[in-house]
Amino acid sequence: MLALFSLLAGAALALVLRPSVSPDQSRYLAMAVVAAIDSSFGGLRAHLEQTFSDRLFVLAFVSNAAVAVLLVWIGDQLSADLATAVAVVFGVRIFQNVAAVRRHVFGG
Amino acid sequence: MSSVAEAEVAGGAYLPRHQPAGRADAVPLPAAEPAPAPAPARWRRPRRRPSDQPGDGGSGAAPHPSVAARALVALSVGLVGFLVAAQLGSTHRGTEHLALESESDLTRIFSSLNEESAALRDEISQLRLELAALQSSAERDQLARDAAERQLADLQILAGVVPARGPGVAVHIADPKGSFEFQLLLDLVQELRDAGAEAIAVNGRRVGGTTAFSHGRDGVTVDGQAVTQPYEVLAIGDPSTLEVGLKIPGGAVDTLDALDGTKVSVERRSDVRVPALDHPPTFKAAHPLE
Repeated sequence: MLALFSLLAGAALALVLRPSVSPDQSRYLAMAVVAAIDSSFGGLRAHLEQTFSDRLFVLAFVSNAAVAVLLVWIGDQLSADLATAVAVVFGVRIFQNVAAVRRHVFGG
Repeated sequence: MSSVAEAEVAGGAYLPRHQPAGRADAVPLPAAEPAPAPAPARWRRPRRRPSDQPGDGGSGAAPHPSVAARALVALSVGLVGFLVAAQLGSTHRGTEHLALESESDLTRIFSSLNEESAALRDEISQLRLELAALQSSAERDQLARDAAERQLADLQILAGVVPARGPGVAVHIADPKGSFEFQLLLDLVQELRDAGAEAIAVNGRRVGGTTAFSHGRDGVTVDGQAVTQPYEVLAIGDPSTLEVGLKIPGGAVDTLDALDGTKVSVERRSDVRVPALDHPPTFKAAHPLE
């Protein structure tokens, strides 16, 4: 409940502040957002499986986002499209986590 | 938004290589077990009840670690919301979505934008032409209006319906013996007009286009109103021309001087004022042709 509230609060804050993201940074931010969404679903899944750990959640949250941004940055330096790789990895993980959550919620 | 969509598409494209299930929806279920083992394992690894563990929070100094940890989690989730909203706002604003388009789509977009800009440029030049046409016609209208206004002012002075001022002459005629007649006044006015007088008044009565001179019981009348001596005739025009015209040998001044007891003087003035007609003429029978 607190998490949901703070999610909405963060979104509302961004809508109010309207932070300007330059197109260059937007690429990195997008990957960080995907990683953060993955971490959020992972946390939700862990919560439903009653294995939720605050420390691990925060650590995974920060490190996932950092690694995602770092990978994209390295990819840019090497002119390799690692952004797609990051997006694929986190996309797959989001699918898995959502599927796990779904199984928990609807059974099966 | 677009990144997630891309991840979906990419996931659907990558996974079927080792998963026969083609539908993106069906992918995660079988894939959950074999491929990325570390991800779920990481979430399962910690203790059963983390909130019971006192040293679990990141900041060990906090007296209630679970509160601090919960705050951290809330902060993280809030950050997710913030970042998602910020990213959504920025992608909607910028042209970031172009980076996701394929080359042929970009070509299509580019050519359509080119066409659009060409069409808009055409519209600009067309509107410029229209503007120029309207401006020149407005200028013409302005010129015509100015000319009409000048003509109106001229005609008003000519008709005598407005007061007028300007350089001119004043003619004083003293006639103690009453030998002055209206024909002589008519001659005088005629002489002044001949010399270029633009506006004339006799004893403060404007001489307009319909003014008539006659003689009444007490002498001369102008438009039916008696005027008495000494007569003063004011005329607006070039003073020297008017004076020369009046003093032509055998002209008006000579004729008047020859009368019994009259005394005539002509005086140049730099500022002569003549009033308007008391009753501007009204036309009942005559109408402009066309």
